Amino acid sequence: MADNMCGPSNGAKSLVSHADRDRALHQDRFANAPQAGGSAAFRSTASFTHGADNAFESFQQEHSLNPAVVPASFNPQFAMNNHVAHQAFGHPVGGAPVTFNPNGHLALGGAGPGPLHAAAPQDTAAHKQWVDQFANMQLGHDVVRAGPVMPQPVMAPGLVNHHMQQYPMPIIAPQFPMNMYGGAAPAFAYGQQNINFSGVVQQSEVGLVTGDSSMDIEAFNRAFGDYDDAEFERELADWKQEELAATAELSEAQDEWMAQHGPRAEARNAKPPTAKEMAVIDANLEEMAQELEERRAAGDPAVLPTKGPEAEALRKKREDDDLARAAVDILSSVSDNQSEKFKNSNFLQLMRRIGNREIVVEGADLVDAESGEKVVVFKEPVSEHNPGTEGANQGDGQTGGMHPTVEEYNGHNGLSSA
Amino acid sequence: MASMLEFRTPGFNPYAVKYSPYYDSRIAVAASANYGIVGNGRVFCLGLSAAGIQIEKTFDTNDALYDLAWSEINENQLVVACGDGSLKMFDLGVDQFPIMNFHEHRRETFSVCWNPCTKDTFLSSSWDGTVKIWSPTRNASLKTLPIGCCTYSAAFNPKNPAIVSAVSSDSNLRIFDLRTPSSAKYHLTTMIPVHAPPSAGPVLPRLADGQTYAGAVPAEILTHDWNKYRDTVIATAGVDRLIRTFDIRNPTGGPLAVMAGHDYAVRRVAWSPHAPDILVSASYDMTVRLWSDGCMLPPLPENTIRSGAQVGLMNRHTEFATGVDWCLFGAGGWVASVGWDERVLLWDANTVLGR
Repeated sequence: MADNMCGPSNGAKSLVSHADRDRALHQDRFANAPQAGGSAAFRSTASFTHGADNAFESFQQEHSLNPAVVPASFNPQFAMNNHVAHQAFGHPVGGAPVTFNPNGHLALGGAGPGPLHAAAPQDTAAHKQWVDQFANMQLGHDVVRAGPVMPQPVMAPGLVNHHMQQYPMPIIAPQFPMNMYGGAAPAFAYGQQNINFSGVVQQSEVGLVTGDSSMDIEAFNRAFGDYDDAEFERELADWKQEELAATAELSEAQDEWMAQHGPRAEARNAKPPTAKEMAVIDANLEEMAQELEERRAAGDPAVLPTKGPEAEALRKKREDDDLARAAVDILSSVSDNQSEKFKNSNFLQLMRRIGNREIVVEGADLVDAESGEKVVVFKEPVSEHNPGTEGANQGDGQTGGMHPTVEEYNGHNGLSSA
Repeated sequence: MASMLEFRTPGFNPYAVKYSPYYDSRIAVAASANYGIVGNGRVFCLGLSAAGIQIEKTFDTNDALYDLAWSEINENQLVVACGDGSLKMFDLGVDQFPIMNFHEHRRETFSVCWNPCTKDTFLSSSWDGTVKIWSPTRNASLKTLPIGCCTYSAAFNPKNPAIVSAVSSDSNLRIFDLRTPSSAKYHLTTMIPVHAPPSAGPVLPRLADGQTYAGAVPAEILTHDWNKYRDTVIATAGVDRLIRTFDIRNPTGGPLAVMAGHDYAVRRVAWSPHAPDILVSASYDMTVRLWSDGCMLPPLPENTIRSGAQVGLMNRHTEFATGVDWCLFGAGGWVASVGWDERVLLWDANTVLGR
């Protein structure tokens, strides 16, 4: 049950808090472990998050800070988040003012992307081996082929705009699509990842298409130039006329069929019932009416009206009958009890009167069936134990000293009264 | 005779009484006009002061009231079970009107019980054959447990907030575990036929007096209560006039103890909060009786059902005794009982011992 989670003594709740605490311990151990992060510089930075988070960021940053080696399969958004995280958690490299606002957006100082670019060469050098391995293993000769397509991505810091820094993929992205989809794919890849490139490619493609179509039109004219346009118009008009005639013919046929067999045809062709048929119909109706009358006379609620004064009276009568029957049942169930209590019981007395139909329910009251006056159903028994006190009993001897004092009650409980 | 404090509820016949879980001096009574046949209901919030029992607050309702439960998280709030199928929550600091209305039951709501462990939920049972679990802050029920017949009483386990019990007119005691998936029989984990003898052993058990216990015909179970010390033990009672105790860990083992003595149906049972073997019962025979189920006595031979002993009788009510509750505070033993004689009686159970 969901709301059990709210309770103060809920087991699951304490489990969650316990896991939180435990997590911190594990994270610390994990972060300080030798294999936790790739860069000692990052680990030495004072952390205000869990150790494992930093370790994970370090792992990401090792690869993302050098855009030249980001595999094309990385999601651009992933790379961007990584970039933000790097800036947010206190690793500014170039000394430019970097702040992190609570919305998670990066707010850079006047230098803009400068510090990022300054950081890149360091990591490039640090992970040169990994880059080479990656290039040899996955990209092969495509790396070479990518060079002329995109000369600038090799991270000349001053030339790369901020957009490219956030989406470093274009540098290598063309290589994967080429391997996988052939020549047409790179244009798509450019369009997705860098609008500057896509514009150039689309323009060249449009030029190609334009040249081809002008040639085709000339050839078409040469082949069909002698075809008379007027003749075509005439043939088209003839065809339309034939089509209209055929449609009209079909419509007429449909109307004719509907007139003979449609839903109105039966009514149009129907004849009044004969006298013999009428006799049968009348007999059936009479029989049904008779049956209905019999059920109504028997008080079958299924055929009685449910509204109106008569129905209301009938419903009330049924309820009174039910109540009287229940009263009689109660009385019979205690009939063997001859004790004084049961003889003097107000409730059983009421049951007797209800069973005798002396008292009936009227609205929200029990009333006398004859006079219609409201009945007082409870008379306080007067006995030596209960001489007829009303309302609050003070426990002060009013009832012949039978009741204890409040002090006695409180004294027994060892409590103070309110 | 034992000394008693008395309060009259003129014009209203009480159905239930409950001590506040917060104050030893606060009691609430759910009452109905005309014995609940027709008319309004009224909640009496009573305070025990130096001047005796006095009204702190009353709340009127359009329909009869059958049960009430104090809130376990707010000392000024209580919820009542109404004849129109609704549950209404009243606050002693708010005049006249309920602060919340919970209306999903299609028939009379007949019992209500606040979760004593997590305190953030309460439940209700109804003649519409369902038990519903509610949050005091939501109008819609959190969960509905199907019973299928008139359910006179439902309660939370005193130790485990996820275990719910219900007794009904089909003579069964049902145990629900809300931790089980809803798809598995709607959380129903155990169903004990109250009237039946043990089905496990090859031989029918004997009662302590040597008679064979062959069970009884099914009868409506009107009330039940969890033992406050042995949280797997439940006492049930109803139309067959017997009080039985069961251990829910052994649902086919039959009753642990049987207590006979009431002349008519037993309307309410309540285990003592101060002793593991003492319970009190209110009955249509106009008596309130104290019982010991004998669990503190030396064990009996195997396959023997203990006969509980009546240890006290309070015979002061002059109409059907309908409600009874123990005071949670102090040395223990104070009991509040109500009956259709329009009276609330506070008395010390120690003074009726041996009757």
